[in-house]
Amino acid sequence: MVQALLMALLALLNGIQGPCHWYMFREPVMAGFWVGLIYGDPVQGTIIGATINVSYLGWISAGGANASDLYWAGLLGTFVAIKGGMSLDTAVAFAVPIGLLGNYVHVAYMTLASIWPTRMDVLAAKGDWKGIRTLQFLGGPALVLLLRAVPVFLIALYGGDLIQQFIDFLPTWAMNGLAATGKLLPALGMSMLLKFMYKKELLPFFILGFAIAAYTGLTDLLMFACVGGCLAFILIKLGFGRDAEKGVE
Amino acid sequence: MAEAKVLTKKDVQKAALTWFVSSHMTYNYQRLQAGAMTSMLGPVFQKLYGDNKEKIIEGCQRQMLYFNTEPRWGAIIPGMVVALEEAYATDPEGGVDGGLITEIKTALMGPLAGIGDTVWAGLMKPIFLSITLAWAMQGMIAGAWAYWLLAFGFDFGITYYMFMRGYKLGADSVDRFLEGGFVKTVTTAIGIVGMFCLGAMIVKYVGISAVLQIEMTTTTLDFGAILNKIVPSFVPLMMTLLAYWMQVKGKKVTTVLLVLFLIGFIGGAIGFLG
Repeated sequence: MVQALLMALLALLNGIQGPCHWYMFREPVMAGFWVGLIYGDPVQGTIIGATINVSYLGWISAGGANASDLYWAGLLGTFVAIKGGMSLDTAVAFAVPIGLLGNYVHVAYMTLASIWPTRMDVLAAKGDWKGIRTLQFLGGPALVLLLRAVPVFLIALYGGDLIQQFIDFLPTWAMNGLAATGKLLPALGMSMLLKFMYKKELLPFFILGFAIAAYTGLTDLLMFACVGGCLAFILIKLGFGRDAEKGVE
Repeated sequence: MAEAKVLTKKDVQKAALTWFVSSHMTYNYQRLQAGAMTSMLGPVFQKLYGDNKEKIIEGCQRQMLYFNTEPRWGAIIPGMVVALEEAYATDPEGGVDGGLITEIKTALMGPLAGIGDTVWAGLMKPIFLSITLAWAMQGMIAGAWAYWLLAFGFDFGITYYMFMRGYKLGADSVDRFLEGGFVKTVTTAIGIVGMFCLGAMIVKYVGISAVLQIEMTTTTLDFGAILNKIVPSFVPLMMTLLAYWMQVKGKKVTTVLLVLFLIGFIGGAIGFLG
């Protein structure tokens, strides 16, 4: 019961929109840490959250449009993985349908929150900016409480045993399939990033990064970031971006 | 534009902070960030107009119009709007009026959303994540918090800087700022680092490989091992490119997700992939 209440609180913090919440509670790696903390294993939670997080590397919400719900994929994905005693790859595969379900919650939130500006218009006509500000700070979170915290509370309270039974029921081939899916899904995150960053003149850097990592087995990304930063600095000094601009436009 | 500055630095800082905290608090399909814009400007109106209720009402209604941009790099717009509102209030005949404020705001929000999303969600955040997730996956809780520190720190830093800059520059200079070489240089630099890291990230994070083995009379033919000798991480690269190609062809991300799910599930179940 206490754990379910804490999960509900976490779901509230996880769902509120803003930089004070996005990085501390929404990002799956941090959501995983908190869920782990509630269920007594923050290290395992962090590992699960981080593994799920990889599939969402290129996640972006432009104008409120979502691909798959980052909020619940991390939060409930970690919960399900811990409760079901799953392997990491299986946990990633499970986070996907949860994320899709969470998508509906997000759309419901964005739609319901559309009543607030109408109320704000009424306040604006009276010049009551304090009222507008109060509504801006509380209107969204109130809906998060209703749409995210309450369901998560119920899932945390009753869902744990069901998940365990479901996992026990799955045959080996299905578990193999889910594990392979978990290893494959990070490709989605990578492809979304690629779509975002792709420019013809940047392609050599992509191939260079892949080739170095694939053939040498070095995959420390801090090292790649340092080398990439130096490459960028040198090339821009040599006039890299300017020529390309002329060519394209 | 008016010479008189009514607002103190503290007033502008307070507006920046309100914007930072609440820009998305009541995000919605109808008006997106309009509520945040008005909330942030409320105290500004109060200071500028005092007891002139009519002007405050006018200001609130003007700012409740649809507004949406990227909250960090785009913070230059609310910053600029504060400057414009101040100019309008102190010198109504000085060329700035309500219509102009709305026009400038609306003209800039699209381009800045584009630049901001590319630089933040497309480049900076993934780079922070790709470095810190590797630590977190090894069971280091500090890795998770390192991500928070980087993301929150840069988010706040950029938002505050751009907001204050927008206030200082005012309307004319924001245009010039966008057209100048600075934005281009930043995007190119982060683009190089991003694409370079992305290539390596595919090797690091996409763990799928071909595991098909065929029993021959004398020996076992191990497809995965052969493939790995020719191009290591071949399957991850191909799967990433497939997912990329589908998105370029206009498939929704959800569709791509389901296709990958099916490939992985079926491939794993029949023993091709693992």
